[in-house]
Amino acid sequence: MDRPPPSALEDVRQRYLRVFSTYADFHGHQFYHVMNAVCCLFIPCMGRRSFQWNGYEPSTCEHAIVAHNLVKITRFKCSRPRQKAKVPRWILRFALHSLSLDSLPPASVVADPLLIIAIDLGCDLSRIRAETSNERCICVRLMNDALTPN
Amino acid sequence: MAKVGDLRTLWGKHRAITTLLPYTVWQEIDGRPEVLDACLHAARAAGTLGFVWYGPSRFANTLPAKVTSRATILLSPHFPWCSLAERGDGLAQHLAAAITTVPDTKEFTQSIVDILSGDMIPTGTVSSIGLVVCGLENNANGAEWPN
Repeated sequence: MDRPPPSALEDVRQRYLRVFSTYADFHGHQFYHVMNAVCCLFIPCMGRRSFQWNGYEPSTCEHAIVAHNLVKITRFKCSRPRQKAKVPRWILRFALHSLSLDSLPPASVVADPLLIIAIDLGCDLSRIRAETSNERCICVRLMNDALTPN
Repeated sequence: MAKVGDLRTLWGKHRAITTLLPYTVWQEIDGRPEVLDACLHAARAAGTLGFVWYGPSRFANTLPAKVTSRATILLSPHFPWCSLAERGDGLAQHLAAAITTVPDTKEFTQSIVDILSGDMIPTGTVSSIGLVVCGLENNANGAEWPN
């Protein structure tokens, strides 16, 4: 994926910090989970990285948007040169939460948490384009690449 | 890429395996048991019985309403029984009921042994499961359950 220049990312981070305090507490806020996710992106060393997604019950539309963007972030973070492909735990917890809901989201949404897991397992996803991926395709790939015996 | 048999790599990926487990339950319900089998195979290959289900304990709490007998028995060794205080008894009863409905195979027997030999399993749960297992054994032998 195209990588934004570091200066652009730093500019966004500075603008974020101009609006929100480093210790902003979003408890009780309607968008508590999403705001915490944004905080995790811009202030990565904060304790809020351990935040849980418990109680996050988005609409299908919001769920799809958040999941899709977290996949993009995961791909971006894991594509950094000279860094081990390690998915941030708060993103992995999002995948866990998405798959643990009382009813499974639509396949188009489930595909994204599966992609996050696949990236963490170290699967080669170069032949799966994020725009065209589907749940079944990723599941088969996960089993073939990472979970089944040689 | 993690392969079964590469224990260090698999241990490093245990969180990803844990994260995938709730999805395998849905696949099992949809008639695709191979996903659960592959996931548990990876967990067992890493020699990590007990760690797998610690993360999604919230999901484990709601399992009885949705999961098949087969999945219940195969997943139970991975439950964080000690942290399921509020639903532990219900799960134990569900597990005990599941044991009575599956065929007597090496796979299920091993899973039950793993459950009963777990370090963190409460005594009450052991009793519930033990009673069912003993009952099945006695029935199989044509013996009476002792008064």
